[in-house]
Amino acid sequence: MLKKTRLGFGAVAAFAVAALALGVSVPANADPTPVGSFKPLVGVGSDTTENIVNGLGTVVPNLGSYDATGSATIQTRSGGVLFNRPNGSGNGQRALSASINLTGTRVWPATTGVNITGQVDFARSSSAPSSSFPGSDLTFIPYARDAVSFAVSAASDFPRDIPAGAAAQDSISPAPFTLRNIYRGTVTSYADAEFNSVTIRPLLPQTGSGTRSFWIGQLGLTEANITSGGVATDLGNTVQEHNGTFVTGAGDIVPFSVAQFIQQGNYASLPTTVVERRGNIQLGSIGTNKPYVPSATGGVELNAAFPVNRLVFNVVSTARLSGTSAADVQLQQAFAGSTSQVCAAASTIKQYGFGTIGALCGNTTTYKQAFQF
Amino acid sequence: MKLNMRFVALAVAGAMVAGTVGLSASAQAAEITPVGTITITPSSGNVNTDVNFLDSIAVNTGAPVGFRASSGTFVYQGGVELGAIASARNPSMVSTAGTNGLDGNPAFMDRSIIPTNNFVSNKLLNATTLPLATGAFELRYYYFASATAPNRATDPYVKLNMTYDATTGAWGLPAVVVPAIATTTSLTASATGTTVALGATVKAGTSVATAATGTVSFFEGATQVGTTQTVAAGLASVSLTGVAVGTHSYTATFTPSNTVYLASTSAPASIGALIAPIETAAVPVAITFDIAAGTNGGVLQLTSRSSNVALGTATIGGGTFNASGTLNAVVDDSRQAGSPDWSLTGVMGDFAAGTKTLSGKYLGWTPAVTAGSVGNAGAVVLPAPGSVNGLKTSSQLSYGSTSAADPQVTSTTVSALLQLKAPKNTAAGNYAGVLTLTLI
Repeated sequence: MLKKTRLGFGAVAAFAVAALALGVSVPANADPTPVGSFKPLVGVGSDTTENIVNGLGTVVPNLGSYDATGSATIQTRSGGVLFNRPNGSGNGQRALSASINLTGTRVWPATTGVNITGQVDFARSSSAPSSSFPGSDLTFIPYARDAVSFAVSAASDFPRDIPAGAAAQDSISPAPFTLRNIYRGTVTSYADAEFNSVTIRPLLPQTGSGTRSFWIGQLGLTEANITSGGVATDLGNTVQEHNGTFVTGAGDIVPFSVAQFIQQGNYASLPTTVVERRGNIQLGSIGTNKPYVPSATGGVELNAAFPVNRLVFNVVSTARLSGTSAADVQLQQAFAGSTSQVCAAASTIKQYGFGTIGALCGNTTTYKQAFQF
Repeated sequence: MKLNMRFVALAVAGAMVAGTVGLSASAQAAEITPVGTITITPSSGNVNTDVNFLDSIAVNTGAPVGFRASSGTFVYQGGVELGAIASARNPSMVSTAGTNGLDGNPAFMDRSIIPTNNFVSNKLLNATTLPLATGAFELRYYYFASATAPNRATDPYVKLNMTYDATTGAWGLPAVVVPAIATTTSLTASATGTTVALGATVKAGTSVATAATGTVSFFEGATQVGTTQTVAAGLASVSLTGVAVGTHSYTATFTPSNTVYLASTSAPASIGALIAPIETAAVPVAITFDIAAGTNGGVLQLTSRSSNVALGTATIGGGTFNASGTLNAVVDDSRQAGSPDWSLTGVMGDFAAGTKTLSGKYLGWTPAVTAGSVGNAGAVVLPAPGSVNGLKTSSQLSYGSTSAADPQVTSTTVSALLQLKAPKNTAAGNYAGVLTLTLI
């Protein structure tokens, strides 16, 4: 069913125009400011959570988070080395592992990089521990929940409520109109309001993005399915996460972080710089679940019941959670436990579009992984 | 069946049919019942002046279960889809746009609240994706199982047959082929004398077709009788005069002047016999007589008498059919004086008309002799029941004696006024009978 929220569209359009005007004057990245200042707790990694951690940095002053993109290299300690800016959840974990450097031989980037021992305290991660790296060297501390829905052009008649689909439906013909089938390439068009057939172009963020792998996984698919489907594309690996401007046609569809969608909409009132780059998109519902709902404080907040959701984490060295040094204690105070400084900043978490996770916030016992190099 | 023509012209009926025949079992749309009807306003227009194609559309059949995801209106011509003519409707369509049938209830949408209601129509007929050509086309109101892949090949629809003239831009509903209304014609025939009244009634069903226009012609066998009459209020009649006595069978044929009604011919209406007893009937007077041989020569003879007496057509009067005629006879007597007196008597046999008979007793007479006659007139005999048996009993018409005075040969001219008083229930017919005169 086509379900249009025309009022919502109007609101989005207004934000988009404002962002265009503001986007020119703001820096493309947000590292601890002013340039040359340093914070005790250095974080790198995920772009999905870079904004929220920047925001948390305004209420947890010890946090110094470096965005996923920006200058090619960063310096995180006064007098520290310059090293390549880690981009993405996986690279954040690698840099953190290299920083811990139990063997003293690790460099970042691996094999070609520099010794960054002690240069990184935590890694932002939008993905949970990977079973590919069993172990407990790293502790993933959850602090918020993100959701991922699909985004389509607000000007299109692309259905705004699409079921996720299931492998059990793969043999049904004609293929049900599901997200899974769209990305499998078995549903390739929809009828617009004038009954014109619109060819669907399923977009995916660049390879390595957490949103891409999460989305594919949530649909029960693999990269091999995407390849064999022959329809879904990352436009030569150019589609950026959390950027709606790649959605240009009536048939375009792309996975989009609900938290990013909300925080970009809130950009004007956020304590840190968030670039509104949603373009002219709207988020759809999945299986009648709306991605966001009205907030008690005005605006919108992530729908806690949205089916396609994920925890976001700050990854730290497991050993430091039991450390007693001043730095370790700062780390523990910032992240560990539901009363940690991060978990206490519920309003900031919501402001950046993420959902709060209650008692699970600050959990240090559940999510473990080995070093990743 | 009685149909109102105007009603038929407006009844824009269409059939809900499946898009294709021979669908697989999974295409459950193949047989949709009941048949649906689309009603549109306006029912005609011209693309050169239309602001909108339609102002309203109503479909009396809602979406069948399983086909409630979306609906659309499409133009088809020659089985080819030319494109949608209205925006896609889905269950969340705003109620101010109308009802779209996707809840299973009849659909109705107009522009009363939303003047730009694209669910009614969103383009003119000359703006379809593929151009509409002159000729017949269909407006199809589809119900789809899928909103994203609306399948016009398998999903059910209600259709409305329409026409378009690409040259003038005019569109409308096809000239409705109204089945002509069957009629029945009935005929009554009645006769008065030789006048036959024929009355035809044209009916449609059991009611008189008062709206029927046309003519009724009357026939006896293959021959038209009377003049062709214009039907008025379902009726037509003709009066035939001078109809030949005998059995007649007539028919009436209704010939319509337009295509609303069908022609019809009545069953034959018969007149067993004209109610004209003795009409043109002659009474042949068979004469038998004897000549009494006079002792002195001379003869007594009936020298003249009527051979046929026509009583004409009986007329009703005093409760009987009445007719009359005159019988004349002359008796010459040249016998010698002293010969026996003579007597001329008559007796009437029964009348017959075919197999129908009428007793001769209903004939009576009033004899009279002309001046100068020697003989005398017989007594008056009244037709039964004025007398017991009328002229069926031998009665004296005239009598006389030989004359001793000059002239020796006498002549008696006698005439009798024949009177027929036949019972009123006498069957019609051309009756004839024989009156036998005997002179002795």
